[in-house]
Amino acid sequence: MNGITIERLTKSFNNNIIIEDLSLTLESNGIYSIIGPSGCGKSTILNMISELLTPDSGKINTNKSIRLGYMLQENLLLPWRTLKENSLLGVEILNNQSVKNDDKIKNYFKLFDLNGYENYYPDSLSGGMKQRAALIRTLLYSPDILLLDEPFSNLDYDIKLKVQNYLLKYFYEKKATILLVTHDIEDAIALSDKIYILSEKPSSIKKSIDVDLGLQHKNPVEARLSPKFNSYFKEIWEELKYLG
Amino acid sequence: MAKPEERFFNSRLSLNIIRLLPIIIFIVVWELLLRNNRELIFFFGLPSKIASYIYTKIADGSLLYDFGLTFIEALTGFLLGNIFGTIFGLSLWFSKRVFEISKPYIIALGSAPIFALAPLMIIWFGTGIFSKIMMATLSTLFVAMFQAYSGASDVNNDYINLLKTFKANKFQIFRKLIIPSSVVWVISAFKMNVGFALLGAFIGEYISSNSGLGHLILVASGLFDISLVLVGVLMMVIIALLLNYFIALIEIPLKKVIVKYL
Repeated sequence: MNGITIERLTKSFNNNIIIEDLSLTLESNGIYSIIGPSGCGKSTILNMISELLTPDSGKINTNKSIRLGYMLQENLLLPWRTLKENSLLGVEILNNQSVKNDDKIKNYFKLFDLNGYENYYPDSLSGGMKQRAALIRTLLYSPDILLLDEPFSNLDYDIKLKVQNYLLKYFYEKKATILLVTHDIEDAIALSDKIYILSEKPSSIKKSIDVDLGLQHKNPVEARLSPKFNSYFKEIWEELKYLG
Repeated sequence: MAKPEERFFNSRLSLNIIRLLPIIIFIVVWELLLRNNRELIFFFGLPSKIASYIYTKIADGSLLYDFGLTFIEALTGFLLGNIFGTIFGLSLWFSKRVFEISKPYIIALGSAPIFALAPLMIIWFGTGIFSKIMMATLSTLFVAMFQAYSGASDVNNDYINLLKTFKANKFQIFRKLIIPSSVVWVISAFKMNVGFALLGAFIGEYISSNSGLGHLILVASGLFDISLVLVGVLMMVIIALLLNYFIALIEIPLKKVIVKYL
């Protein structure tokens, strides 16, 4: 099972309660989004799921044998590694050796419009390119659960749709579970099965919305064209705008 | 299109030629002003005298021997001090507590004038080459250690978190992250240590030896032969330039090797 259950999570920093009594369930092979006002502790939730932070109280239940891939908000490419070497970092740590799975890497670079940039160093590239390289690094690690923190924030619209398309392909092939943290309502509706809206600090789940656009297969463009898209948008917007 | 004179100034060859101009002018003026004044030559030496010393002492082999000896002492001490210092310094990253305990000692030893220990080194390790190597080693060890630790502890915590998300253990974080990101600091320690290694070897020779550039300078200054003293100084400068050149050569390959094999 690739699911996660989070029960009554609380976390504070310097006596400032960020997350209070937060519970949510991610079922296996689903895509979930967390939306909320900025600074409400969205990243903190992912940091706790990936065990970078320990909660003050509450429980996070995951199957310990599954592989968890976490794409942090910043790309964090290592400046002394080329894009290709950066993309292999996770795999190297996993196998404890250098891996040269050239076809697979080449394919990823092609899919994400980074063809020909394999041997470039990060500081010569744009934010969007670095973000895509960071996503390749996460995907090459082939996680069963993907935690993505604002993964599309630096991407141009056309490339964003391309990347989302590929992400969905990965989701179906791998039967993965995806948890997406985003401020972008459209991305959340287009990709998710369920959207969790966070309240203001201290955050807990304010509302959860099941998304069903009536599509056989998820598709970022068709989702946006769906007649139900706008009503979901409106429903989420109504919740968010009162948060200030 | 750049103007012809701009192109001349931009090419690397012309830059090197222009760089040599000040020293050539300096030497010519020095020679012309002093060559007929025995008193000033006594105080400041003379370029043509320096040149003839270099020629005769290369011919009889003594200069190369002194040069080689000091070079080997400085280089061996430089390598030992930097390698062990860097290894110790980087390893301190593994335990913050060990570092906190050893920090005052490292700072104290690093700022203590190691050269004041020269007489002790001579007593402990004799008047031969070994005491000079030890001087050069000790002069560089603490600088390398402190720089390496500073580099290791300077690593951004976000990168460490990134590696933790891939379930990297502490040793993997050390190999993949701490070592490569400390390379800049380690190389800058190497650069600082060129002078220290050379000074260590020199002081050792100056205090007690029967050959080497330190010995040459000691004897020449005893005879008030300023031109010969300057020959020794010039040779020391050449050693420093050589060491700096080696460092520049290894900097980029070192980074590549670290990424590839660690």
